[in-house]
Amino acid sequence: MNAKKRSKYAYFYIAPFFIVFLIFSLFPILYSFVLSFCDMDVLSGKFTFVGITNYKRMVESGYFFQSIGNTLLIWIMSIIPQLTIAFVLSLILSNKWFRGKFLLRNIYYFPNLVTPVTIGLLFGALFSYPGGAVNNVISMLGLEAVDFQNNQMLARMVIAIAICWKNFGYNIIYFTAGINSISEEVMEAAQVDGANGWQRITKITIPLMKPILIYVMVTSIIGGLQIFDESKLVFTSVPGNATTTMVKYMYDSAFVRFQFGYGAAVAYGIFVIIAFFSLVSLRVTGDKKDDYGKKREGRRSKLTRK
Amino acid sequence: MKKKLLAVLLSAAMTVGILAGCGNSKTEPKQEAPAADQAAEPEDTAAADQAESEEPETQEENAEVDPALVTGEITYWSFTDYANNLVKEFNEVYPNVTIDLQVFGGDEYKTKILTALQSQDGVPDLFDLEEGYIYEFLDSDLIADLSYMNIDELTKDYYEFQRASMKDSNGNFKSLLFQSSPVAFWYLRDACEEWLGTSDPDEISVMLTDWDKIIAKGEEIYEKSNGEVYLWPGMGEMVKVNAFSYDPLVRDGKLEITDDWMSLIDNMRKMYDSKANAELGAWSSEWAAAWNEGKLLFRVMPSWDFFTDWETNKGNVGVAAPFDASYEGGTGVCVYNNSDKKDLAALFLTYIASDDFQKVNMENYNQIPASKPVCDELAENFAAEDFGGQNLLATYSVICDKIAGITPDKYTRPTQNLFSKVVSNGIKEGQDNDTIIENFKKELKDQYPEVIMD
Repeated sequence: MNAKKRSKYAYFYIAPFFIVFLIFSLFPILYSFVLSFCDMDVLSGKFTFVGITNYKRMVESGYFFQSIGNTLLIWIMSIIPQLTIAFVLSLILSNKWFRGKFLLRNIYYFPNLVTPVTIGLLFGALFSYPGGAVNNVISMLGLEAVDFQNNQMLARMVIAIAICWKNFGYNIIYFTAGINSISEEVMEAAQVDGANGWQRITKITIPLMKPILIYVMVTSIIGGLQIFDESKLVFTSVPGNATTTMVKYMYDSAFVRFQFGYGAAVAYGIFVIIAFFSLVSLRVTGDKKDDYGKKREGRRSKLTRK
Repeated sequence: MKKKLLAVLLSAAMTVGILAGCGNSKTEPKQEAPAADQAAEPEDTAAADQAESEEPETQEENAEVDPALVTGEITYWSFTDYANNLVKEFNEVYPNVTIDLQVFGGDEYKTKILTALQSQDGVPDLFDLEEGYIYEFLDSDLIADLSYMNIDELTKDYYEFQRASMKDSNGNFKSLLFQSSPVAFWYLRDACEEWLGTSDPDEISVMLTDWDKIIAKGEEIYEKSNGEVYLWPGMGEMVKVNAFSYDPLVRDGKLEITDDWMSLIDNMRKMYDSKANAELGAWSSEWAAAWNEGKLLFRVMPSWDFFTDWETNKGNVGVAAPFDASYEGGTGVCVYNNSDKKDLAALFLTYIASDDFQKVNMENYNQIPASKPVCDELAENFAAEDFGGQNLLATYSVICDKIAGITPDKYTRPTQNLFSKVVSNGIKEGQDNDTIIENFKKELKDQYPEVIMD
């Protein structure tokens, strides 16, 4: 069988992925893009072209922009503790003298296996007022019970805690893999040179984990800006729509009020926002220097170098 | 070159395919087949044979035929397990009619039925729609106008509000309700004996005839109980009492906030500032626990309830008629207009609208009848053991009689819910009425930009 024939067979092998991709990814993407310029009759499914009306409505909607703000606030409140806890625990679990790290790593991962709906309801019950578990503890300490649901910032915080609790174990897996991939020789050399523990973390571990950190950061942005389940389920109604995230806003428009055209436009708005923050994140965390602190040479200069 | 050509053709096909969506579809729904026409392609059913005759006679003939001879199969979708009871009872009478019932839980159901109707593929002959969203659907031609099965006559004895609720915006009957869900004050008898001095539902209704009286009584109880017992659960539940006694907030696509709604804001504010109000989230665990322990005197609930701890409170529950009459929830059964089994669907609906089923539905499943004569007939000498021997049906009949016969539209329930949310939150944040109304309008405009506002 010659190479040309073999290459023809290769198309059959890759075909399933592309067929699934075309049907379940590309087609819905293009379909919803077209839909975002139309109004759709709920039952007949007929489209009426309305131009940029849906996008105009979205841009003029204060509630959409508020949902962006809510999402960012909740995301920031969850991502900072989430990555910090995950990183610190990874450092501890990567210590070769630490016993039971396998068990602990699995335990920390368990919350990630719990369905978002369960987490939403669980945290709603934990933080309910006045008789939730958290308020019972607060009352036992002789303090006044806290109405988390009716305080905008506290309500967001509870959702952030739920997301943090769910995801930190997942990030531990990545961080531990990153730390374990660092050559022991480098660490030993640093130790011989007199670097203390803090210096080894800040000067060796963190810089060498940069690719992992960037990956975790970008995936956290993409995932974090799509918060939905917790926003919908932890509290039913928070003053000032303080916990309405972008995706919940889209869901309510499309699947509660059946405004599918507007819902599609909002989905594209969310896509643009996530793409923007992902690019910002890549730029901010982008590695412009190599492992030795020298500025990286560009691809062009490498190619043209004699 | 060939590759390029293929690429161009594929791109063109995709583009045409996508843009085709924006055009007006030429595909019209299948012409509705009148009941008589359907007989031209009869199922092997006696019902189908009967349908050969004129429409009005179909029902009469159905009644004459031995139900055991009626055979056939129809599909039925629902969002609630309760549909199993309907099918079970129907099959007691029509044992040879097979109903392929499929129940889809949660939000999935709405999307499921919507997708089926849009594609007109695999649509069930019968399907349930919940009160919360039914009016988004009813105006569609894909849902049969039930006049083909003489619905007006079948439901002539229904409560007025039930008949109104079954119609689309043009006044056509598009769904059938098989039970009533009037809203009432639920209470524990021993708690009310202790704090109100009576557990008699009529005396309680007389005692609490407006919001001022409820607030005053609540403050009195709070003081007497040293802050242990509240009378009222929360501001949001006030809207449930008044909602269907007031003109709808949006009517014919126009927002009109009448004085009734404005005074409700004032009353909600008074309630919030008073010691009568526990301000517990409706349907929350604290809300249910406080009521079951007798620390909250009233909950505003429709005739179905999931929150009573019957183990503890069996025989200790009472239901009193509120000073305004309202309802919450309900299931409308609809027929797919292009179904070729509309005759069997009609048979099913005719059965669940019948007095026989209404009685069975109350006796076996505690569902309040949609038909007034049935409710009144059953109310004679009726005593509910779980409710301390109370004649529940008499109480509910009084409420049902008072509920205004308004046909809701797709804005009715969502605007009530939005009003409740915005007003409750605004009061908690210390906003004045103007700010609350402004916020309500802003949020309504965001959700339904087509609504006309002054």
